Amino acid sequence: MNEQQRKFESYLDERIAACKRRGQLLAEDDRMDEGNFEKVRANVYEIFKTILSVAERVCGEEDGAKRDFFLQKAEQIPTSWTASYEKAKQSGDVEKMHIERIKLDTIQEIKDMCMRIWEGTT
Amino acid sequence: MTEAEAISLFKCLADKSRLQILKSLAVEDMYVERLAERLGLTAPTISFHLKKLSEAGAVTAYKNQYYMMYSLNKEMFRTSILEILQQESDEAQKQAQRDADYRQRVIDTFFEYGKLKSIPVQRKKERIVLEVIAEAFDFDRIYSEREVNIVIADFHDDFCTIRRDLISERLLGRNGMEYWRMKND
Repeated sequence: MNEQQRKFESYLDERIAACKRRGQLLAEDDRMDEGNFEKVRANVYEIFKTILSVAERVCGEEDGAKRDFFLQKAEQIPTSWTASYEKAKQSGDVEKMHIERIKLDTIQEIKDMCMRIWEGTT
Repeated sequence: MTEAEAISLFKCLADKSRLQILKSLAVEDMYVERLAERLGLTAPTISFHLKKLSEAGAVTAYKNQYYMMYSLNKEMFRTSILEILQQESDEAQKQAQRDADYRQRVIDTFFEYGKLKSIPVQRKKERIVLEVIAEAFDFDRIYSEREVNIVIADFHDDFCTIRRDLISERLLGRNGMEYWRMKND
């Protein structure tokens, strides 16, 4: 595992832990729905942590290939979230829209961080 | 308010953020961004909560120039919790049927060919048995103790116990040696 990957994985771990911590605090504060939104966010980070480990298995030590594999999945996977968001919007399902928006915002943040780490700007 | 509406409202209120939104709207009507700023939440989160509150009938929305304003449905909150509890349950009919089935099972268990096999130990069951026996008495008629004993003896030999229990359960009234069937509400 190279430096960038280590850095990226540690970023994902920190975000997962932060979401879980916030989710717990919100639940303790009787804000269950917002607590559940944090779980949704944590789940997205966890999915892409798994993708990162798959990238390592598939691409070996070839660093650029790992990043490209990861970014490709980060484009592919959210297409169903976008479709789901649009569908929810059409039926006025604000709850579903909000959840899909959280997932899409989170993956955008993950992609941005991935680029920044591999470009060495962070 | 129907039972389903009450459940939806109570579920909706069991959330601190939504309660804070309602408290803000109790002060004045507000739009999403104003609520978001006031409560330190994002606008989409406020929209999410407002949607839930609207569905539960707790808030209403109206358009004011460029903004969608939200206001507290004060009429709904004037309903007291006691009024909600006193409303007839959607389950009332099912409950009544279950009670009737239970009553019939007790009667079938303790009566055989119109005779009481034994006096139930459980108070609830004994009450049902005594109600059946009380039906053998006419309303608006005064019975002597002997007449009461004869009516009860048709059901069971221990007429003394049953007579005493009919009185303690307020199914029969007594004044000296006179007895009568009591009308229950």
